[in-house]
Amino acid sequence: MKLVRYISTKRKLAVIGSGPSAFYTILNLLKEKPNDFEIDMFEKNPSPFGLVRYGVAPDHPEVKNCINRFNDIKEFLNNGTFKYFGNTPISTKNSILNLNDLYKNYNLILFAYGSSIPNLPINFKNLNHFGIIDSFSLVNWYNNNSNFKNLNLPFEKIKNLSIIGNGNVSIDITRLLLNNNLNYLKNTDISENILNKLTKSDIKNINIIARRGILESKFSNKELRELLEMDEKFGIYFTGYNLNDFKDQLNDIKLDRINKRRISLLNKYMEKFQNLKDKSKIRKTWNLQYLKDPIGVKIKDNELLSETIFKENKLIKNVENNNWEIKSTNKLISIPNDFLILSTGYKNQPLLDFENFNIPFKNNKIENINGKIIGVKNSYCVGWISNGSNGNINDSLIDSINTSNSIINDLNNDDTNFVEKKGRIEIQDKLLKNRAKIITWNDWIKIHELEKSNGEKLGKPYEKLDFNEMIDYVN
Amino acid sequence: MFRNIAALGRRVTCAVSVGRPTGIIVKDSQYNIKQFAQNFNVGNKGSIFQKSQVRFHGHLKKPNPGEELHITFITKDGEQKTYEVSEGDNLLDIAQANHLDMEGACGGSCACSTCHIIVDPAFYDKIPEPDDDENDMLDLAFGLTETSRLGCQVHMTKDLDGIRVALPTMTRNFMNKDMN
Repeated sequence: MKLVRYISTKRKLAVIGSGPSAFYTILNLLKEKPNDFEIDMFEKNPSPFGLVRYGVAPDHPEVKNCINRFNDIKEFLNNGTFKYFGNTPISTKNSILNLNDLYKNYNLILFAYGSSIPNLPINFKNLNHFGIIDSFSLVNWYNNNSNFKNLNLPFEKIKNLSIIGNGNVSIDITRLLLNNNLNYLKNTDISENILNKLTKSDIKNINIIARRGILESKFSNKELRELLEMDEKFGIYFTGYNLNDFKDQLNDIKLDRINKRRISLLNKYMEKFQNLKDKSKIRKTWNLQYLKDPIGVKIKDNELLSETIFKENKLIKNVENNNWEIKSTNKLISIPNDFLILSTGYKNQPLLDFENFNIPFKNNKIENINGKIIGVKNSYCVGWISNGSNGNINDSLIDSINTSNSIINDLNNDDTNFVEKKGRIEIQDKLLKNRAKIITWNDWIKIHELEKSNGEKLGKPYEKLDFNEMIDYVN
Repeated sequence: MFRNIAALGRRVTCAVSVGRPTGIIVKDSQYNIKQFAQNFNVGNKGSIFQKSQVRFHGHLKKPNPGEELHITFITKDGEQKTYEVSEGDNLLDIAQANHLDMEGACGGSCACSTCHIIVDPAFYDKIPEPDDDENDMLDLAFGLTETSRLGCQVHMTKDLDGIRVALPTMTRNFMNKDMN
């Protein structure tokens, strides 16, 4: 009798990260080729879904609906096509697994671990004061990411706050800090401890300040309008922006669709505020300020600031090419504020052993063409790590289509180079030998069931558990 | 003067050119708006005309006999697929019930633009105008055209019987900033 060894031709794919880009990519792959992959997903936190869980604001539940689609992955659990390794970081300081383990045991690696640190304005990189916080920490805190639970914010003492940077995160923060009333937030997935802290704050005014001009505003019209429309209902009024600085530019150029809508919205609400007869309606205010380059702060005491100092920028028309350009001036101006939030985006980091594998990390991203990492075989990237911390769920979806297409193209053209690898057997072995507390997909389902039943008592969709509580609950 | 300034800038940011697109990353530039327009010129004659039965699930109901409305989707590959549907059905539900490539990440609540469609200009004006919510989301859609809509916001009416819509190619390569 002859022994025939069965050789699996399934490609063993390791995915680092479990956010929307990671899920969309593997769901695309499995839709095209349901039998050709064995996928292991490594997530440093016990819980999956990345920024959907710890980035999207609690009062935006509709954005989180994409999780319903990600849960389709359960169809691939029983036949071993998909396995989730929660609480399993790769190539971090104390991680059991590193890239060497992955390259040894998998045919393909997909980097989808997103952004891990805040991007700070250049003059604020080494500035430590209790009156200053970055938006990365603040957003993780209000979404109850356990790694940020010790953040002590003196909310009760802040009346006037400034935010540097005017992306959607700045608008999220403004909305949550100004509309911090219990009725608005109590039925969201915001955690009880955060809700208690937020509702105690009494911030009266927020300045959202940016270096560039109104046409370079980073927020989307959706977020803008949502905040503007809180005026009559919640007494939160937009007081205006430095319109005069843009009059010449706006008269001179033809506006695109987005800017046309943006400016007509801003001007409409600015006018509305100026014409408001009953000023007693105004509970809180916010404003936008452009062409101000932050250079430093004045401090009041150990906890609070007194003002933020800016260099003014100026809009000048370049007569040679007719473009409007922003020039720096030496004029200093100061904006009074008790507290400052640095909200100039998130930033990516290379993994510790990227150099060992010649993975090109440059300009805040892994260098790639349509998700295929340049110069490194069998390696792909998707989402914020591939495009430099930018974009919303639409971008993630499109990015993942590009990357999954690249993977499938390579698979179709490269059959001869296939080598069988050991994959998850070896990896599981190493993790267990090192007493890792792996969270499986079924563990996560169990954890989330508990979160849902805890939330139900409070009238919320779910009440998030701490990472330690999650691990204890299933071990 | 500013004795208490905790950090005074050492470097002042240089001039930044105005009008640079924000928020959207361009990966390639093969997109050509005419490609979409051409989809509409295929015409019924000689095209692949496939009449499939909708697999009714979810909240799509089978149209009453004699009250069927017709809709044709033009897929990314240029294939035309026609379905019989009921009044009131929205285009996202119809597409998903028929397993067409339309994501609908937010579940049809007008909070994303992943169900972006391009409407045959002959039918565009027969659809009630997009509201602010839909316009906000169209701002973020890839490959926006003058007749773009969100599938979740367009409901079938008798006026729309025979409507044709195209599913845009999902590549990041076109700036909404170029639209007026």
